This record gives sequence, structure tokens and C-alpha cells, in this order.
Amino acid sequence: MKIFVNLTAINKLYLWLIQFALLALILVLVVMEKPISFNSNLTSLFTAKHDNQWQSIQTKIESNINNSLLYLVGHKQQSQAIEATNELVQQLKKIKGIATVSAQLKNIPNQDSMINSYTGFEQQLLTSNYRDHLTNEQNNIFDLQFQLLNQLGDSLVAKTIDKDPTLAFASFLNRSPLPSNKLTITADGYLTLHYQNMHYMLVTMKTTDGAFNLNTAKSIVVQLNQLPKISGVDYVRSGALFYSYEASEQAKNEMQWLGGLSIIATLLLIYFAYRRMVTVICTVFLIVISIAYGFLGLNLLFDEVNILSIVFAITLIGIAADYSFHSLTELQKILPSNLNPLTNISSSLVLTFLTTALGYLLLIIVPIVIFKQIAVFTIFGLLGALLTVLLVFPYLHQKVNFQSNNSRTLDNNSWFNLINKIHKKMLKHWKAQTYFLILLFATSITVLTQIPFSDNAKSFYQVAPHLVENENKVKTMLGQKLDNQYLLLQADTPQKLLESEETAIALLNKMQLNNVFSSYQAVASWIPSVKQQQYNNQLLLNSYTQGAFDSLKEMLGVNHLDVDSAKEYLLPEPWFDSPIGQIFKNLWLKSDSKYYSIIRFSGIKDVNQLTLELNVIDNSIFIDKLADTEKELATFRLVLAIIFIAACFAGLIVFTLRYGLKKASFGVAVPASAFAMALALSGVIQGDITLFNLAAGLVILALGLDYSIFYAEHGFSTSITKTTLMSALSSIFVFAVLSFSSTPAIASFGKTVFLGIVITFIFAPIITKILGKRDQYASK
Amino acid sequence: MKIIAALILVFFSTSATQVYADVSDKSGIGEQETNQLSVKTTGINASSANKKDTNLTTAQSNQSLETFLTLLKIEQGTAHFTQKKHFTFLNKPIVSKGVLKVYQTRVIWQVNSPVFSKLLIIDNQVLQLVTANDKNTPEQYQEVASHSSIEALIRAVFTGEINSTQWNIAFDEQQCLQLAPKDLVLSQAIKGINVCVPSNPKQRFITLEDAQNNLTDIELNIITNQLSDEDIREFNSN
Repeated sequence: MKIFVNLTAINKLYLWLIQFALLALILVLVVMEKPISFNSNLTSLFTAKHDNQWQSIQTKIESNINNSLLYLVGHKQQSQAIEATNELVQQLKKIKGIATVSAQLKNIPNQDSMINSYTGFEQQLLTSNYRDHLTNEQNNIFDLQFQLLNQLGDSLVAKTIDKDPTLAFASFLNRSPLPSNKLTITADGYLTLHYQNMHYMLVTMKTTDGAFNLNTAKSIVVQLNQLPKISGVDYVRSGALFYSYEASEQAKNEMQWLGGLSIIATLLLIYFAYRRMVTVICTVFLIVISIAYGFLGLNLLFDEVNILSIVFAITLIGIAADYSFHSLTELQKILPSNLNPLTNISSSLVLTFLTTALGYLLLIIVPIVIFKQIAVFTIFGLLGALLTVLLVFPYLHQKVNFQSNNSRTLDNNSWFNLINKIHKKMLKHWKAQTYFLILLFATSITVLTQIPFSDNAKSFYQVAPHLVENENKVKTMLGQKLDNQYLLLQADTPQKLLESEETAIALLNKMQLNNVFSSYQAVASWIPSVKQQQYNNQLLLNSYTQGAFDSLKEMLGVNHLDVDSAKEYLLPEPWFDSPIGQIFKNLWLKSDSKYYSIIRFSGIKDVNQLTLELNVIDNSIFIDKLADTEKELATFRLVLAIIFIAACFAGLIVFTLRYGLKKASFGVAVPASAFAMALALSGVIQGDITLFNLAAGLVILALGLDYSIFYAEHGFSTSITKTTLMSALSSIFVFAVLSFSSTPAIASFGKTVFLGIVITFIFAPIITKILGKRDQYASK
Repeated sequence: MKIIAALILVFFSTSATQVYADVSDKSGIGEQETNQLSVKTTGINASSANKKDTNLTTAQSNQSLETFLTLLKIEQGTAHFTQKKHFTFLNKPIVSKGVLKVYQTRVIWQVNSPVFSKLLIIDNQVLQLVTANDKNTPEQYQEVASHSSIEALIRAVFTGEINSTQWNIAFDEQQCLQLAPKDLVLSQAIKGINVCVPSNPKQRFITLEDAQNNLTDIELNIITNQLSDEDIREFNSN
């Protein structure tokens, strides 16, 4: 350490250049190997997931959903709408990044093809309703058979009665395999709907990459926006891709504005404080270097970075600039002939880096990927800033004159003096101030008990109004859509999976009657397991023998109905290739020698009951991303609160070792109380508190402890007030600017940190009045 | 079920004039399609000996269609129906009787004998009664997983719009309206619907032919245009 400190300025510079060149090389290699990509997936903020066995299959299912896009092409005349649709399809096929485009349905399962899909197995297929009518004494099977015979205009009975005279097969097919919606199919296979006197044609497409990959999203949306539009034709589009694009544009905008404003504010602050252009250039250099280090950290540790992390990362500007303030203030006092101009503050700088890094390191424990990315970016960035200050600034100090043009400017700067005077006055009544701080803390805790926590993940991100409007329009036009929640089942064999689905279906049918949801889509509803087929066939045979079909025989005017014993059974593999099986193929997956199936729902009215009742199904999970996210948020805010308390204790231990318990208690209590007050104020302003307000606590603590260190190390002086004020102001600018973000999550975080820093800065000098181990610095 | 929707479309168009407006040139339907209204006849009336194809002019046809649809229009009321379903494989028709109720845009199709069943149609939803018809227990409905064609039809009925992209519409001098589905799925189930209004305006005669050439005759007698509060409550699904 001593050798390192005693190095000459030029050697320090060489050392810095070597390590920087090395890191730059690593960065280049990493970027060449696997460049980092940016995404905007706000539904996967968490790194904690379900068990791994489910994870890959879930990703597969969701990527399929995220790759889908749709266009509705409308015109007053159907022929014109079809013409415009065909033209659009041709253009879409040329777009890079779009894998498939479809406007016409091929091989639509019609009644005949559905009947043919079950040839030879007709008397092994019973709906649960038909079974209930056979097994439940309260129900008469003839009621159901009569309803089928009496059904208006339906030709199912006529088409199937020769294959199965018990009408069990007709009953089995008397349902729609497709979820209900407002689409109809034209004779030439176009999916069409009528909305506000316009005829709309549906065009669906799949992108090659997921919608959350921002590069792909941007490229496709830009190409789509450039497509020529035909006059009089209405184009409505929907898909995750457009949300992704909008989020990236919004983030880019905020990066430019908020980042730009932060940099300008910080630079102006430096210029007015030091009155030398060189200090501004040095700070810009420091910020650039720290951002480069931040990116290196992200590239080393992540393959994909969320766009929100980058917006949050603006905070690095304010924190990295602190190092510049501390060193520039020191360098202005030291003569260029001094070989180690930063000796006095080097330990403070290292200590502040350690406390800040520790604060951010704790964010890594939080299983939210954004926080991990912010922490990595900031820790790497600050390390870069620290190394630059310690290794490059001494050299610059020898070559460049850091002294202010007006040597008296710094000390006599009116606003520094003003703040210093206020602090001095406050310190005269430091005991009263301490009691006031305790009172404010107690009030804040009382207020906080009245403020609710919000775990609504949707409220963290504000979707552009035009997208919401568009989504609602598409929903109105298409009618009921499948819900996002689904049941995922797993088994070792296809038959076991079908049996598992059948257990679920028995529960689902009851819940459907109780209006828990409107409808569901399940493979086993259309292909029973072999076990179920055996049971069904035996039930038909027994019922016939017991005379259950006598009324039907009488109505049909026959003495005998053919009920055959099953010899072979319908199996999933060949059935999935049939026209009806094709519809369900996407609900059936195979991965790592395991079979998975999905049961999808529409019109869920009571998701809690659905989740609760489906819990009993073995080897299944109910996927409800939003509810899962909310549950995780509720847990993580508790984790975050514990981490904050642990961080306070860690700070207390380190401070106690250096300054003694009494001083340490004040050093930690001030930022901790400031956080409580900031949280209470944020809660009052917002009406609730979110995880992002809580996360601010660690940053407030990290920065607040820095102020405590500087005051504890150097005592209360104009110089320390200046550097602390500069440091606080730069952070205040950055976080205050963040509170204007249009993304509520970022705004909440920015607001709480901003308020916390202001409060902690006001009360930070109290520590200088407390006697401790290094009490030679305590002001009397 | 598909046919119920179709019947409702014909009988209880809540805004018959709007229907006319939609099928006329004013709403953007091309001349070619409008002309089809006057001349297109379906398999049903072709099989009826007492009905003749008439080549009315488009204007005359539209005028007659408008008058006819106005005649069919019922805001609310109750009707008794008798349905005879003739299967080609049965010697005797299957006969059922029941009640049809209409209130604003909602419809109840209730078969009383020989086996009770009840359908409630609200907007684009087709709901089936799943609990016993016991007055002491609340009625419980379940959405029928119907094909979109039915929903489109029902929606068409309640908005008063006969979508000419889904139906070929024809009208003859015998005061009978013929509808033939254009929709691919619906056309696989039914060939067409024929609706006639005799001299007694409270009566309707409907014949529909399914894809297997089975005919269903329905006779409808409107008994009242008034509904009691209890009747109106029946149109709620929960």
C-alpha cells in the first residue's frame, strides 16, 4: 500500500494506463464474443423463478406469445379490405425479422373433418356432461339426447348417428374447439370481423426474435411504419413488439433529457465552485471513464440489460462527480510540487467508495434484475472513478493549474458561506437539532404506519396512452381473448399427462359452473386418455345393458342400438396431425424427455379461487405472472427492509471501530432517519409506497455515511461543508431529475433518494459535535 | 343454436331501418352486392312450389324489404313456438314446444316440452341454463362455447345490422325473406332460412334447411308485447 502511495505521479499514470488498456481489451473481447443486448421486458424483473424444470418450458411458451403480432385491415367494402390485406401481406413478407405472415386459414377443421378425426373411436368419447347423465340418478340421459336431436339446424346428429346411435359422439362434438371471439371465416379462409360499418381482415405474423429484444423491435417497427398505406383503409395493429419499441423510445428520450440535464447541472456546479474550465474537463473525463467501467461491469456479468437499468444508471453521474469534488477541493489547496497531493483525503475516498459499494452490493442480494444491474454498473463505475482520481489526478495536478482564477472566490463564495453559516447556527443548538431529528423520525414512523404498500407491478411502468387505447380497441373488435394466466402440467408419458389433465378438468368443470371463469381450452377435453376411453366405452356398454337408452330407441323407432366394445384406442401422436388436433398442438410440448401441456382460460373472474383449487394437481403450476410478481414484490420489500437494517448495523460496526459507539450511532442514525422521513414524505406525495421507494434507502444510507465519514474524519470546516455540499448537490440534481421520469418506478426511486439526501445533508454535521475515538476533529 | 341466432336476426331486429340502411348503397355496400339482394334465392324457396322467383327492381325490393323488416320488428314481448324437426332417418318429426321472450337486446329461447331447456342470449354471449328450473334456487347459466358465427349473428341482431358479408339476403313477393349463410363454418351446418309473415301479423312461419337436407318448421305466435317486472328479471344471467 505504501509503495503504491509513494509512486511518482507519472508512474501512477502509467499504472492507470496499463490497467485501463487491459480493461479496454477485455471489454473489446467480451463485446466481440457476445455483445450485450438491451431488453424492455418488465414482466421478468425478477431473477428468482420457479424450479428449473419448469423454467425452460415456460420461456418457450412465453417467447411464442411474445413473437406474435397482428394487423386488422379495415375498409367499408369487404373486397377492398381483402385487396389491402393481400397487399399488406406481400409487403410484410419482405420485412426483415418477420418469420411468417398469414391472412388466410388453411385446413380449417370443418364438421366432416372433425368427425373423421375420430373414426373408429366414436364410442370411447364421452363428455363429462354425458357421463354425468349416465351415472347420476338425478339426470336422465334421454333429456340430453333429446336436446341434441331437437337442436336447431345442427347436422351433427344426422352425420354421426350411424357411427354412434347413442349420440355420445354427437354430444362430444357439439362444442367449439376454438375460443369464442367475434371473428368469422370467409369462404376463401379470411378471418373477418365487422366493426363500426367497416370490414376488417385479420393478419397474423411471427417475428424471428422475441419482442423484448430492443434491436429487433426497433428494426421491425421502423420498417412497419414505413409501409405505404392505402387511402380509406384503416390499419389497426397489436403485439408486445410495439410496447417494447415504445418503452425503448421512452427510455432513450429520458436518457437523453435526464442524463443531459444531470451532466449540465453537475458541470455548472463545478464551474461555479472552482471557476476553472479545467476542473469541468477533468470531471467530464472522470464521468466518461466511470461510465466506461460501468459498461465493462455490465458486459462482464450480464448478457442482457434492461432498459430501465440504463435510465437508473444516470445516478452514477452524480456519485462519480463526488470524487471529483473532493479531490479538486484538495488539489486547489495543495502546491503542484507536492508528490502525493491527495494523501490527506485518499483514505476518506477509499472509505467512501467502500461504504457506497457496500450499499450497492446489498442491492445485488435483492432478486430484482434491474437492481443487480444498477449495482454492478455503479460499483464498477465508482471503482473506475476512484482509480482515476487516485492515479491520474496527481499527474494532472503537476501539469495543470487547478487553482481558482480568483483565489478568494472559493472561500468567499456567497452560497457556500451561507450554507456554512446555517450549519454553524444549527450546530450551536445541536442538542435541540438532535431532539428535533428524533421527533421527525418518530413522526415519520407514525405516518408510515398509515401509508399502504403497493405491489402492483403494472403501476411501475406507464404505458403510452395511445397503446392502451389501441389495445382496448383491438379487444373490443376481437371480443373475448384468452387470458394471460394458464395451468402448466408435466408428466413422464403422454398418457400420464392426459390423466393429469382429466383430474384438472374435473375441477375446472365445477369451477366453470360457479362462474370462476368463462371457458378453458385443454387437450384432454378433445382426446381422452386410454384409461378414460376404456371407462367411457364400458360405461356405454353397461348403460345400454341396463336399459338407459330405451327412451331413445323408442323415439328412433328401433329395437336395437349398436354399442361396440373398444378394441383400439385413440393416441395423441396421430391425433395431433388431424385437423382438430392441429388446433391443440400448441398446448402440448416435449422437453428433456418430459411432456408438458397447457390449459388456457378466458374470462377469469376469480383468479384466487382458481389458483387455490388447482393447487391439488400434482406436477402442475398455475402461471400468473402478474400475481407471482406481486407476491414476489411483497416478499422482496420485506427482504429489502431487512437488508437496510443489516446495512445500518454493518455501518455501525465499522464506524464504532474507527470512531467509537456514540459517534458511530450518530453517523448511522442521521441517514437512517433521513430515509424514514424521505419515505414518509414520498408516501404522502404518492399515496402509497413501492419497492422502488424502499430501494432508495440503501443509496441514501451509502451517500449519508459518506457525509458522516468526511465530517468525522475532517471535522466541521468550510472546506468540508463545500465538498459535502457539492457532493450532495450533484446527487440532488441527478435524483431530482429522475423524479421527473415518466416511468413511475424510476420517479419514486428518484424522489425518495432526493428527499433523503437533502435531509441527511442538513443533519450530517451534528456528528462533529459528538466526542469519539478521533475526537481531535470534534468541534467544541 | 346457430339457427336460433339466425331466427332472432330475422324476427327481432331492434332497428329494422338500420338493417335496411346497412344493406343499401348508402352504407357502402357495392352496387353488385345490393343487386344480389333482389334476385338471390336460396334452396329453400326453390323447393317451395307456391313461391315464385320475382325479378323486382332494386328500389322496389329495398322498399319491400324495409317494410318487411319493420313488420318483423319487436321491441319486447313473448311468443309461443312449436317446432317440428324432420329428420330424413325418422318417420315422424320431433316436436317440441316452448316460449320465446325478447327484451331490448336480450332473448330467451326456452323449450318446455317434452324436455326442458333454456338459452339466454345477451349481446355476443350465448348462455345455457345449467340448474334445474326450480323457482327457489337462483338460475345459473354457463356460456356456451359457441362458434364465433353465432356471436356475430347475435351481435348483428342486437345492433340491427345484417352483415351482407355473412348472409345472402333475398326477399320475394310472397312476403318471405330468405337468408343463406356466407360464413364458411355456418354454411357447413345450415343451407338457409325462410321466414314468412302471413295475414295475421302476430304469426310467423320459419323453415330452415340444414346441410343434411333435414327441414325444421317453426310456428310462432306472439301473445303479448308487454313484459312484467318478473319477466324482465329473467333476462339477467346472475
